[in-house]
This record gives sequence, C-alpha cells and structure tokens, in this order.
Amino acid sequence: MRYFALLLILICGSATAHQWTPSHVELRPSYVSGIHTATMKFYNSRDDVEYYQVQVFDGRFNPIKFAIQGGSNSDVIHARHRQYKTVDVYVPSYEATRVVYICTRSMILKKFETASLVSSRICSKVINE
Amino acid sequence: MKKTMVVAIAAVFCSSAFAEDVPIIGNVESKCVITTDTQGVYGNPTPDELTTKLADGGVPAIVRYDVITADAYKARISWPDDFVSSPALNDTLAWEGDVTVDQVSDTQMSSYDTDKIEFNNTTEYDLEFAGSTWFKVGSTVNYGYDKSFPGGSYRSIIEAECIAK
Repeated sequence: MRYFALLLILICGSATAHQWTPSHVELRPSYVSGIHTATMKFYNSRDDVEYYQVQVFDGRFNPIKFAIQGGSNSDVIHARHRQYKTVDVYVPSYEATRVVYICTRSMILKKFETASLVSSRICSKVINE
Repeated sequence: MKKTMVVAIAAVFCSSAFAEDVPIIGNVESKCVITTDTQGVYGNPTPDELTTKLADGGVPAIVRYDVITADAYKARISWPDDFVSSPALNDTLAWEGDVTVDQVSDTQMSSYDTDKIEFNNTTEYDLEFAGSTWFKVGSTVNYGYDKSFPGGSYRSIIEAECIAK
C-alpha cells in the first residue's frame, strides 16, 4: 500500500512583531510648502521579517497618497532584527485632514521555507486639530 | 593641642559634604505588541481536510497582544481564507475558522469574547484593559467534494492587526 505523506505546515512563526509608535500622532506642516509630515518610530523585534510596508489610510481604510524618508517611490522600510528606525511620513497638505491611520505591515518573503505566517499590522491614529 | 587642632580641622572639611539630586526620568508610551505564542499546525484527519483542531491532530495558533495603555487599541485577527503556497489544486477550497480568547492577564478581559465583532473571516476585539491577551486562532479547510489533498507543502497566513482608537 502506498502512502502519500502530507507535510504538516506551520501556520505561524515564532517571532515577535514590530513596534510602531506613537499610537496617536499629529500631522504638522513641513518645511516644504504644501506638505504635512509626521515622525514615527519603528522597532523591528522580529527575527524572521526585515521588510515592512508603510500605509496611510482615511477613516474607511481607503489608501491616501504619501511618501516616506527622502521622497523615495518605495513605501517599504528595511530594518534588521532589533533595529530602531525613525520614519518621516509626508502627505500632501490637501489630504492632511483626511488622514486617519498611519500603519506598518510586515512583508513575508516567499522564499523562506520556515517563514513566519503571521502577518502583523500596527496602525497609529492621526489626531486632527 | 596640635593633635586636637588637626582633628578639628579635619572634622570641618569632612562635614562639608555636597549632595545633588539625580532625577530618573521615564515616559510611558502607549504601544501595542503582537507576538506569536504558539505555532499552528494542520492535522490531516481525512484525505480531504486540513484542520488545526486538537482532536484531529492539529494545533491551533495562539497570538498574544500586549497593550500598555488601556482603551487605546483594538485588535483585528483574520483566520486564513487561502493558501499562500501549496501544490496545484484544481478544485474549490472551503475555509472555516474562528478566533477566541484563550488566556488573559487581567480578569476584566473575560468580557472580550462576549463583546467581539465578527465579519467575513475577521474578528475584532476592543482592548479596553491594559495587559496581555492570548487569542486562539483555528483554521479548517476542505478540498472539493471528498477529494484528497495532493502531497506537498501547504502554507496559510493569519493576519493580526492592532489599530489605535
């Protein structure tokens, strides 16, 4: 009798998630006209994930245009295990009143055989004046 | 006499000690940390079913939320509704799942399960109290109608979110 063995797959990984603070943040005018900005602190406490996607949403989780760091087209942060990063998020001033959530979401690489299978997302809320 | 004077002069210098206040400053910052506490494992009780139920040889995943400040966050946990990697499958998959509170660090959190909101494959909890909460996530998937899963590697994802209120 031939038996086919199914590999039992781990659903979840074994690492902690990242930290994204402050929990409540205020958008302030940037030194560049027409741009508002917020400074966030990021800490990667996961040893299996190094890439995180920054996302900006309105109250209904509709995406809003934004940029991070030096105005790069990429919205992805790269941080090694136990690395702190300060992330500046820039949004157009005409969108500033719509912004409600600034989030980071873990990005799991496909190639990892034993990849953690918990995708974590932490959102901070924007306090509008 | 000289000895007495030496002792007196030394006592004067010894009595003039300097003291300074050295503050310790701390700042409690509201934050949320998500930790995978227990790895989930799919059991294969029948050829057409993969499940995390203990009775069927599986292990449900447990995700822990640590919240520093009370009533500052809500948790949203979504059980899997698709494989992120698997052998080629040519029939439908029927997904089921559930999220329940497994352990709490504060007895007041026992109300979380009764107050939770469920929609689609997502369960939302209002984290009203500071501390740690362990959520158990179960997942079951059936393949076609009595069809056997082909041999190979199967991987699915749980999405755990912590959203500031």
